[in-house]
Amino acid sequence: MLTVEKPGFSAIQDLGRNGYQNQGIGESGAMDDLAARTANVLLGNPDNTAVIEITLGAAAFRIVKTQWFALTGADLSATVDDRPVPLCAPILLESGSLLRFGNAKRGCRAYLAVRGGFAVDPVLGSASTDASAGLGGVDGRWLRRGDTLAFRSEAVPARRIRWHTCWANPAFEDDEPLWLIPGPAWPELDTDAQRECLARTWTVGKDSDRMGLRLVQSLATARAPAPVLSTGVAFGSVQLPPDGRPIILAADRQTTGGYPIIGTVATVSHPRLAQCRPGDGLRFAVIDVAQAQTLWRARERRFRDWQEHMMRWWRD
Amino acid sequence: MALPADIRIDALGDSALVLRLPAAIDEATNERVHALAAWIAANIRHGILDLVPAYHTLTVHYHPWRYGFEELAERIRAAEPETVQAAFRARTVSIPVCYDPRLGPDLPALAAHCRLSEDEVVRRHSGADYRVFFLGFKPGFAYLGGLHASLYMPRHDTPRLRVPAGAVGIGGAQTGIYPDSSPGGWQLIGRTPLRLFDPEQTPPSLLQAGDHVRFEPIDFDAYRELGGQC
Repeated sequence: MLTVEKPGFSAIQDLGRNGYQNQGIGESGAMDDLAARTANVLLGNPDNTAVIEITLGAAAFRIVKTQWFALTGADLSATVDDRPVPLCAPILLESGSLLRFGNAKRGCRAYLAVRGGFAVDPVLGSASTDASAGLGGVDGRWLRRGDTLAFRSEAVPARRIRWHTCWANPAFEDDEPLWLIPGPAWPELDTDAQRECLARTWTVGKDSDRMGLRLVQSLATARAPAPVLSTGVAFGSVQLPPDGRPIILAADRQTTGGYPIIGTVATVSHPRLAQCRPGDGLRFAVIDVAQAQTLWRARERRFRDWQEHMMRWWRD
Repeated sequence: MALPADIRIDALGDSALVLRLPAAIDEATNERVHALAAWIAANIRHGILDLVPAYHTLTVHYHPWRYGFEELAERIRAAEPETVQAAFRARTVSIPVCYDPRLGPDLPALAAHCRLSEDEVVRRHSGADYRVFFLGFKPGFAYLGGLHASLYMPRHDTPRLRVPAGAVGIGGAQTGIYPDSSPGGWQLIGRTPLRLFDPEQTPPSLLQAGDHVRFEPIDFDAYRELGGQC
């Protein structure tokens, strides 16, 4: 068991709620799915196990029962009883210790997994918190001070661990652009606007959240893309509203939207997108859908190989 | 190549694609969208995460581990949606609505705007046969077609901070029901005691795409008896 002493902006997430978008229910789920999966795999959990997503730090959790944990994603200056916590490695946290998050040094969102998973009942097939609909997680809301989260597993395997993985770290190590697959409104932009979209470094606005990243600058275009009838949207879809400020839709997006979509950020770039903080810069580079899938599959194949290796390691 | 020639398939990123019919808000177009969804649900069993019908589009969210875009598009090009045209059970859902200014505070203003009596507004709003085109925006919210043109009224310039669950409103050419309490800019003309969205139910939304909807006027006492909140 663990108790929330200081919630910051934290909520339970897994890999999202699928199959209900035709009921108007969004997908939700971890913003950085790769980091969330990595946290689980480090502990030998199925990668869809519920984790805590911690945004930008300023949170603290009291460990009430000793168990193995893993922390991935952003570096939020995590400490246990004032000693720094290693990222991307299984860590044994003793009952009574205080896991505290300070400032965001790198990235935006960290993921805390526990061996066996947090005991959170799925709602409509997922433990993910959808705070706007009040579904999943703890009472369908962000975590609050005093919330307690039980663990599914009581057993604490004895292990000596002197290694860590670098999965889920490279997301913000380099300066790679976000790969953008052009969408229906892309050809409607004039060539200057297309060029500007790809040449400029965009700034992530303060009004960004799990619903979408709102960019600060606006895209000047001779003629704005025509408004469209409401239609389905995806994680990473870049909407261009009439004010010209692009919005990159994320995990808590609505199921349908009516703004023109100039492109969609490729799946392989989602972790990088998820780790952007307000004020960060980002760039786009165009890729076609086949190339984007090839890049993602190559990464996914390596991840799945490592996952299999980790599952075996915890079994033996 | 059985897919009708007027349906385009475009990538929406690398884990979704969109089937696009000629843009229109009409029943025939929308029924073809739902027929496509039914065909895919019945014929492509694996790797499809979500099917999201809208007015004239069907968005297919898929797992890119399972399919490349071209591979899935190729399978969908074999679709014969015309064979599942009758996918809808013709269901009519009756929604009791109390059109009382206590629950529909904008009813007098809407009547004045439309130059009708309040009774006439209620008669026209409850006399129409509405159809659910699709669900979206928020859980259990139905996009309805069929509002009488004489009842169109723009939204409030400044949305209300809180519209209660069950509120029935008009926003421009649309009418609908707020499934839960939220901010909202529509003109509120009444309220239903029914619960539009309940995650404990299967399916969780009371209204489903393809349903016909009728609003049945009830008085304030009946509204209270049916469990309506004030």
